[in-house]
Amino acid sequence: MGKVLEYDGVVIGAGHNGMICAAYLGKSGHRIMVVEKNMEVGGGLDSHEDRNYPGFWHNIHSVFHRGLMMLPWYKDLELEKFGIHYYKPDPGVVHHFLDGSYLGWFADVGRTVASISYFSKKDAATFKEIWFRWQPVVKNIVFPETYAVPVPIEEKEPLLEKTPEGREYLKYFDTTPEHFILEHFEHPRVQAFIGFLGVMRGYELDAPKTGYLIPAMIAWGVNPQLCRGTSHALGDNLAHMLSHNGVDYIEANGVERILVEDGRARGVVLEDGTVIKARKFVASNVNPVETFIKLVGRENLDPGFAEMAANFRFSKTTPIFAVNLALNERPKYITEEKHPEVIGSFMHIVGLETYQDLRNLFEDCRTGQLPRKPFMNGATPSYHDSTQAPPGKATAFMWQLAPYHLWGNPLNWDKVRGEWFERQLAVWRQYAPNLTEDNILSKDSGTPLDIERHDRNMYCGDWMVGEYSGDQALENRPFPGWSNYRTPVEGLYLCGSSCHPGGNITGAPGYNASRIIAEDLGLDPWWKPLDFKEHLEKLR
Amino acid sequence: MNDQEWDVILIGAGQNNFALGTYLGLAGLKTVICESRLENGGRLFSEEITLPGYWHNTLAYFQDNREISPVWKELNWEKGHHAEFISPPVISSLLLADGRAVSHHQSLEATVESIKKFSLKDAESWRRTHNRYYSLIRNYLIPYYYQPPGIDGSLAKVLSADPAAADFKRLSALTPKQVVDELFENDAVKTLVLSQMAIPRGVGIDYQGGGVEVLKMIAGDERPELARGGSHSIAQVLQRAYVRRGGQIRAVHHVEKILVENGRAVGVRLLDGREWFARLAVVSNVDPYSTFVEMVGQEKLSGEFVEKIKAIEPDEFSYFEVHLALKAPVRYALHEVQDPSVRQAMNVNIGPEKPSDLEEMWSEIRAGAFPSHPCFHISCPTQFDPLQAPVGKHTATLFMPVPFQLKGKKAEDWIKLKNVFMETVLSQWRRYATNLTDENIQMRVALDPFYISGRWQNMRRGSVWVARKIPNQMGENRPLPELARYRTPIDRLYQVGVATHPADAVIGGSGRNAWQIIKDDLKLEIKQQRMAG
Repeated sequence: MGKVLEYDGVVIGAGHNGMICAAYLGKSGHRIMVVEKNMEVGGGLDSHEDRNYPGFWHNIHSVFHRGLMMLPWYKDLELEKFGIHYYKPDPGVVHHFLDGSYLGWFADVGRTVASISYFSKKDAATFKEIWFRWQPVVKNIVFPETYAVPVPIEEKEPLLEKTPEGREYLKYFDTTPEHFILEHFEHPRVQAFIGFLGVMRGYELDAPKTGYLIPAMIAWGVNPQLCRGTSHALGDNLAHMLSHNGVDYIEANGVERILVEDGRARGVVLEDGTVIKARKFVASNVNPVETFIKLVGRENLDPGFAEMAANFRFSKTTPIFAVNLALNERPKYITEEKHPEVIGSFMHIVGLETYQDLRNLFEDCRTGQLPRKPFMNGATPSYHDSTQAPPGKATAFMWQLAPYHLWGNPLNWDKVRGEWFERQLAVWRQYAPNLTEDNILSKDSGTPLDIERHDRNMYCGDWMVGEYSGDQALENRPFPGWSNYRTPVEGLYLCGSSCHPGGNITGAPGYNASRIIAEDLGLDPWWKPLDFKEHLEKLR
Repeated sequence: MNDQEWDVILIGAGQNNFALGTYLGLAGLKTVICESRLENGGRLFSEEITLPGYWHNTLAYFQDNREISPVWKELNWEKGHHAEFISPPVISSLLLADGRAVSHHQSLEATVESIKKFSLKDAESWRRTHNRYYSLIRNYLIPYYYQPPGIDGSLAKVLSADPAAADFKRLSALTPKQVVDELFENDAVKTLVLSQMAIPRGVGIDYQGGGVEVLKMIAGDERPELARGGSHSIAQVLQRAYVRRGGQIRAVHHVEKILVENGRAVGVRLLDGREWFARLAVVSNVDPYSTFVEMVGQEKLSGEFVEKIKAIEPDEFSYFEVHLALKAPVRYALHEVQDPSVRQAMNVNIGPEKPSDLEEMWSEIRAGAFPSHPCFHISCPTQFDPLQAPVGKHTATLFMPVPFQLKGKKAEDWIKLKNVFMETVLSQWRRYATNLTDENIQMRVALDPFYISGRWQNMRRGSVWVARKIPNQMGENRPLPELARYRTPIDRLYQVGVATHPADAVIGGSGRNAWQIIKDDLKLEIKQQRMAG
C-alpha cells in the first residue's frame, strides 16, 4: 500500500507474449517489470492438478504447440537452457469416424496424402499439390509476415505481384477459409477435417481476407507438439528466463490503471495501490478494451479512438467446454483395431462426420445455443509424457467449441455444467467405448465462462483475444492503422494476442512489439527482426 | 551448457532447497533443483481448487518471525524479489457455543483485555508469562532456529544466560496441557492455547516437550503473516531469487536414485534413466525415508541406520480441509457483537470449549475415527488480502486434524467419504458462522489426507511435519542424532527440510542452517553478487 517502484519499462500481463517482449527489452539493458493479475504467470500456458486424485494433471488451456523450438524468440532467448522438452508424436492428428476409418496428419506428407486418398483420390492429389505449391509461399511470405510488423495490402501488393509465391498468396488473399476449402476439396469428411483444423486455431470459416491461411496451414504443417510437464512448464521456463536475465515480475497483483500525463504513459497503479513508474514505456499484453477503456480511460483518449477500442470484437466461436478425465486406462479408439498407427497420435478428433457439422456449430455458437451435435478435439497427454499421470494411469481431455453467451447469459454454464459434461462424454464414448464409469477416476470440467474467470484478459472466453476476421487481421489488428503495436498514448504499446498475428502460442506479437519499442527508444536491437517490406523487396 | 554435470544437485523444490540453493549460487556454484512435481514450492502452494479466479492456500498459509529471520535479509527476498505480507492484528479467536469469544492478539494488552472477560487471574498470568519469557525467546530461542543444533552448545546452555531459564526449561519439557493447567484456571483460556497445538504447531496436547509451543504462543510475539497473493507468491519469490543467482530448476524431474560411490554421493539418476553428476554435493529436501531407503538404497547403509530411519515416527494426524468460494466473507455475527476483534482474526477456532474436548479429539484420532469433537481452524484470507479472489469475492479455508486413515478403511476411501464429511463439517461450522448460506457459497471442495499424501509425496501418511515433534525427534535429535546437523552417513549427501531442525513456521531455516555446515565442509564463501547470464 502506497509503495512506489520505478523501472525503465512495465509490461502489463505475464502471458507468453508479455514475457517475451520483456525479455528482449530486458536483455537490451533496461530494467523491466512484468505485472500479472493471476497467481501464476504464463497466461494461456496453464494447467492444474486433479482435485480428487493427485498426480493427474489437466492441461486446462493451450496444449497443441507447433514448432516452438524453431521460432526466433526461442533461440534468441535461449529457452533451451531452462530444461524445456517437447514430444513430437506422429501422427500429429487423427480424425476418427464412426465407421472405424480415419484421416491423419503425419510428419511425412506422403502418409497424410495416402490417408486422404482413402476417401477421395482427387482431394489427395489436390492436397499434395497445394502442399508443394505453398512451400515457398509459407517460407518466403507467410512465416516472415508472422514475425514482422504488418505491411498494409496496398503497399505489399505490388511487391507480391513480382514473384510466383507472391502471386499465389494474392490469389487467395481475399477469400474466406470456407471458400477455399469448398472450392478445392470435394469429400465432406476431408472438408470437415481441414476446416476444423483451421477453426480450432481461431480461424473463422466465413471471415474475409483469411482464406489464404488454409493453404498456408496445409503447407506449414499442423503437427502439434507436447510440452513435457504440461504447457505450464513453458510458462515457468519463460519466467525463469526472465529471472535469469534480471527482469522482475510479480503475480497476483494486477494493473488497475495506466498513469497518463500530458498524453504520455508514465506508469501503472496496481490493485493494491502500488505505483510502478515507467521511465520509458508501458507495454500492455492485455486486450484493447481492457487497455484503453478500463486502464487508460476514455478521458485520456480521442473519442473516435475510444469508440474503436470499445467496439473491438471477441470471437463467438473460440470458447471451449473442456472435458478432462483422470483414468485408469487411456481411451482406446474404435479405429485402433484396424489402424493401430492411430494409437500414437497426439490430437484426436471425434464426433465430426461432415463439413455441415462445422457450419452448424458456428450457427449454434453465434446464436448462443448448446451445440446441436457435439464434436471435439483432444488428446491423451500421459500417453506421450508419463509425467502427467501416475505410473500406469492416464489423463485425457476433449474440447468442444461452445458459446460463451449461453442462452444470452454465461452464468447459465454453471447450471448446465454437469449435464453438458455427460453429453460430451457420451459422444466421446462412441469413439472410445472403454471410457466407462469404472475407468474414470475423476471428472474435471472447464466452461467458456471458466476461461474468462481464470484469465481475465480472455473476454468472453475468447483465447484468440479478438475475432480473427479481415477487419481485425494483419494491418487491421487490433484496429485499422494501429497494427504497429503503438497506441495514441505516447510510450504505451500493445504486445499481446489482440495484435498481429493473433492468439495461439506463437510469441509473435511480443516479438514484434519489442522491435517497435526498441526502435522508438533509439536502440539498435541485439536481435535481428525482419522488416517485411524490405524482405519482400528482396524476393526474386 | 552441459546439462549433466553440476556442482550441487538439490532434490525437491521446497523452500529450504531454494534458500540453500541461493546461498550456493552466491558462492558461485552451479546448481540444479530437481522437482518431482510439475509445480515448485512444495507446501507453499495455492490453487484454484474451487473455481477459476479463487486461490486457496492448501497447506501452508502463514509464517512467523520474518522480521528477525536472517534468511530474509541475507537473500534480499522482500525488497529484491517483491514479497509482501499482511499481518492481521488478531492471531486467533476461539469462538464458544454461547456466543462469547476469547482472542489472542498481536498486542499483549489487547490479549489481556480479552482474557479478563473470562478470568482476571488468567489475564494477569498471561501478562506475567509473556513478560517473563519474552526476551529469552526473542534473544535465544528464535535465533536457535537459525543455527544447526548443538553448534554453540545445547539449547540449555544457551538459555542459561537468562534468569528465567530454569523455569522456561522446566515448562518447555512439560506437555502443553500441563503448562496451561499450571498457568491458567479458566477452560476457555486454556483452550484458546491448546486449540493451536495440533494445527498449526504440530504437537499433541499430551506431547512431552510440547510446552515450549505454549510459551512461544504466549511470549513469542511471533507476528504471523499472510503472504499477499497467497502462499504460492512466496514460492515465486524464492524461485526468482534462486534463478537470479544462476540456479536452474527442473520440474517433473523425479530423482529415482542418489548415486553413491565409495560412500560418497556423486550424483542422481532420474526416473527416465538419465544420470546427472554432482561434483561437490547432493542435498535432499524430501523426507528421510525417501532419501535413504529409496534413493540411496538400504544396501549402501548400515542396517542399524536403516532401522532408525524406518522407525522415525510421523505425525499422528493429517489434515482434512474444506475450501469455499464465497460472495461475502464469513461472518460470525453473534460472536462479533460480543468481541469485535473476531472480525480481524487471522484464524477463527471452533469446536473445543475445554481441554477435555481436545483430549476427546485426540482419542478419536488415535482410534482412527473422524472426530466428533473436532477442532476447526478457519481462515478467510481475502478479508486481509483481496488479491486472492476476484474483486469483491472471497475464499475461506477450514483445516482440522484427522487420522490419516480411518479405521477399517483404506486411505483411498477418503475420496468416496470426503463429501459426506464436508457436509457434516459445514453444518457444524454454520452453527457459528451466520452467513454461510448456499447462496453465499459458490463452490465447496474438500481435500483429504489421501490427497495430501499423494500431492506431497514426502508427506507419507499425510504427515505435514514428516517427523513427529516429540523430544526424541526435535533439536539435536531431529529426525535422528546422526542427521541433526544436516550431514548424513553418506559423504557429501545432506538432508534438509521439515524433518530437520528447526521445524517451525519459518521459511528457509533448515536450508540456511545446512548452508552453514556445507560452507565449512566444502570451504565455500559468498562471492561478489554473481549476476546470472
